[in-house]
Amino acid sequence: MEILKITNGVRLAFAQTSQFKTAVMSLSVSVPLNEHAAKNALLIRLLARTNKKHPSTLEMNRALASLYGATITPIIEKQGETQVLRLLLSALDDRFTLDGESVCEDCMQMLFDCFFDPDVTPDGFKEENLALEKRLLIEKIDAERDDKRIYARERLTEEMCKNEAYGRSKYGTKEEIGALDGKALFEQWKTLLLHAPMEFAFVGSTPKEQLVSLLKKKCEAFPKESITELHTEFLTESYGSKTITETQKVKQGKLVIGYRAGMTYDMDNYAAIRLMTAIFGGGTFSKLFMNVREKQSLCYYCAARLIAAKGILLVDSGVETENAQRTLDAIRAELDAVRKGDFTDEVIEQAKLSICDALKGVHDSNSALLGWFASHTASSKFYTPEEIADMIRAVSREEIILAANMITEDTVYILKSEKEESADAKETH
Amino acid sequence: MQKKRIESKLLGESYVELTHDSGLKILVMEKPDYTGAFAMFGANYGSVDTCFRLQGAKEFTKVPEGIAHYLEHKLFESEDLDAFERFAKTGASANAFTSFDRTCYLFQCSDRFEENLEILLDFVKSPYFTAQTVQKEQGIIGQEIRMYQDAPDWQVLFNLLRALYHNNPVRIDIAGTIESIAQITAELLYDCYHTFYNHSNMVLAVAGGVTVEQVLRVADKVLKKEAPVQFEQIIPGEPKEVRQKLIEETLSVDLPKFALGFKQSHSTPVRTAKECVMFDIALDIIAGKVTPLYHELLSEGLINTSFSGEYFTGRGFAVPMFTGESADAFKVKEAILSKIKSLKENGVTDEEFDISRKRLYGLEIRAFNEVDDLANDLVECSFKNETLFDRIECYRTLTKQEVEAAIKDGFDEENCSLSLIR
Repeated sequence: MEILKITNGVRLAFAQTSQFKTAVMSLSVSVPLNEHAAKNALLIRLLARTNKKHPSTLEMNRALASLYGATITPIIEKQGETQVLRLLLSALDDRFTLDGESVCEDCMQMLFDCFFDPDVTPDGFKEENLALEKRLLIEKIDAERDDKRIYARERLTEEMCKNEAYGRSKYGTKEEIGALDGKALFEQWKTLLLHAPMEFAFVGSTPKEQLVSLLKKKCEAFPKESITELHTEFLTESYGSKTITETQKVKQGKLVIGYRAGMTYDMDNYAAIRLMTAIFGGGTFSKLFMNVREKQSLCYYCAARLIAAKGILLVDSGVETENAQRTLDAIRAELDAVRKGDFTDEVIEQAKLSICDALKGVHDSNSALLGWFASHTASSKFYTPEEIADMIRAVSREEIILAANMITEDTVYILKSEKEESADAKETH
Repeated sequence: MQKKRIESKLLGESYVELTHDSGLKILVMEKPDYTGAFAMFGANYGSVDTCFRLQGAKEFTKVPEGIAHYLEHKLFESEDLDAFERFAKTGASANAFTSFDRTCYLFQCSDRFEENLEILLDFVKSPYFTAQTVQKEQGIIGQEIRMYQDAPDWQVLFNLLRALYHNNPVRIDIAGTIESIAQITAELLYDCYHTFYNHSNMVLAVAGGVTVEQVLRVADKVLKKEAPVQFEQIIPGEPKEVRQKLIEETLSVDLPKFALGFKQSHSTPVRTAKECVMFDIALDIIAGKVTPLYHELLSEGLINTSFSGEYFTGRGFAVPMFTGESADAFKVKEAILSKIKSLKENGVTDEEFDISRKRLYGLEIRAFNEVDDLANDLVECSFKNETLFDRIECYRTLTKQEVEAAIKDGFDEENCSLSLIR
């Protein structure tokens, strides 16, 4: 893996390998997560759909199909309070085409065309494409909300970070999306070209020199003016926990707890907090799995996840509504146990092994490699999986306990099920 | 021990298939440039296997719905350390799943492969069920069932199967119901285990940076010879007609979902690689991303990019289907049926065939990138008595005429069902 600065604000992240049968690549820009979120989200989706050479989605899809089912996927991520906009392309390696033709270079060209040569008129993006994309994005928001596990986590984040940029949806709101016009999006595209930090990431067999020269050419054609600063606010502790409760017609209730992890930046005490999270609720050896699921049979899933880019930690579970409080108490008791150091040295070793084994596995998957680059898009410093593994191995028991004691509960979100006439109620008659 | 190497020149890949002295079939794909490995130990047994008897037994046993999945959960436990605790000592990531027709136990690791394989083989071959441990799982699986009941993507599919089939056990939920799993006992679990977890009904597949010798070393150590078990099953008869043309359910969703499936009747339970590829191409020609129909539906606001086609098959069932999100699924259905009618009448153009074939072939090759996909596909192919490379080869040899025939025979407009979630 290597990261290269091409020019001011543009970098290349790549891993050269012929281990895989496809090449994967992405082009990303990073912007502050703010009131322009909807505009940015809609823009990157429009860019993925057509370009000047292929002005309709049908032409575009046909061109991609003839490149052996290459796919261009728009991805919108929240990394701390940075909104990352990404075009992801996956293409067949030339060695495996049916008639020996070359596709990888054409695919790379296609990706750049989408980003740098969109199908616009002087008035901006075309109304017809815009209307379609608005509907698709709004429906994507609806579809994600229909997944109650995602919905509950989103609601928790929204409530917990109400007064921070992080509380915003990475897609913006449906109302904001509805109000956008083609001209504003065109202006935003120009702004991104001039100011947003950009990264081209590549995993495949194409030589480095070729990637560098291609990227340099694009940078010369589209020089950056000034680079937007990216910043994330870290609240190191909570000022008392609040509980939000909602009711919906669902069969299973959801419980999500948000904590402040005591971090002041994304890599602050990272290894100790990551290990602490693993012992608390990050695997089948963890306290939440062993006790809340296996011993108390309260749930099917109950897991903790560290979001280092914002310095917060989430626990989520699906439970019977009547068991929500019991589960909440059980989760709190497990965290208290970690804070008191009530875990064996063996479990520390297990958590370290589990994390390090997974880190080593990053090299066995081109999507994991690209994902590794992607997870660093908005961070200032790049670490290899081996560097992270070394940090993890060096953590002591005391550091884990200290990390657990820095954690403060901020918000509890409970989704209750409103049962019309529940099967359980019937049984009691 | 019989051993053979199966190769694909096109992909530059090969794997070894052998029958171990214990009676277990083992497949190993050595990938020396990979750090880690993935192993999957599977039984050709799933939620559709609901009524059976061992050869020589008097009575058939009819088991509660969801028992295969329940067994999968319980196999992780033992008298001593459970399997998760054992894997925790090595750092491997272990899991299992149950589908309609198979149950698989798996791990992925970057280090200590042999140790991990030993744990996998040992725990799957060491059942330990008691009334108390069986009871404990009800709360956990109960919540898993509830979770799926709220998941619109699952419900729209399960409901479609319930609408298409009258008797086929694929209409039963994989995890069963809260009521059915309450009837599961340790004794019933042992009955299922001793019938379906015999080496003759299982396969082990490994892919990654390991060698055949490593796999055999562990197999020799752990696996004991087993005499093959013969069993019979009652497969209920199934009429040609669908049970319901329309099935609807209300869930707490903002975006209505649909699934449109076509009922097929076949004289054999398993669909070949060729049939699968043929129907994948047919579905792509009817309404895939490169068709004008897809783009019409998209621009008319009738579908979004979640729309897709799939040939949904397994042991005893085969359904070409389209799924998606739409405010008016009836219109989508109408448009698809009229496209099918026109393809039946006018045939497929060379261009349509070529572009779909190329696109799907390119997507298919991706499954050869990752060791988890490889091990999973090896298990699936083995249960179907096919090789891993059969599908890829079909893309080279299949003709347009065969796809036209598939469209004519496999999409009966009179026998399709629409499932709606709103």
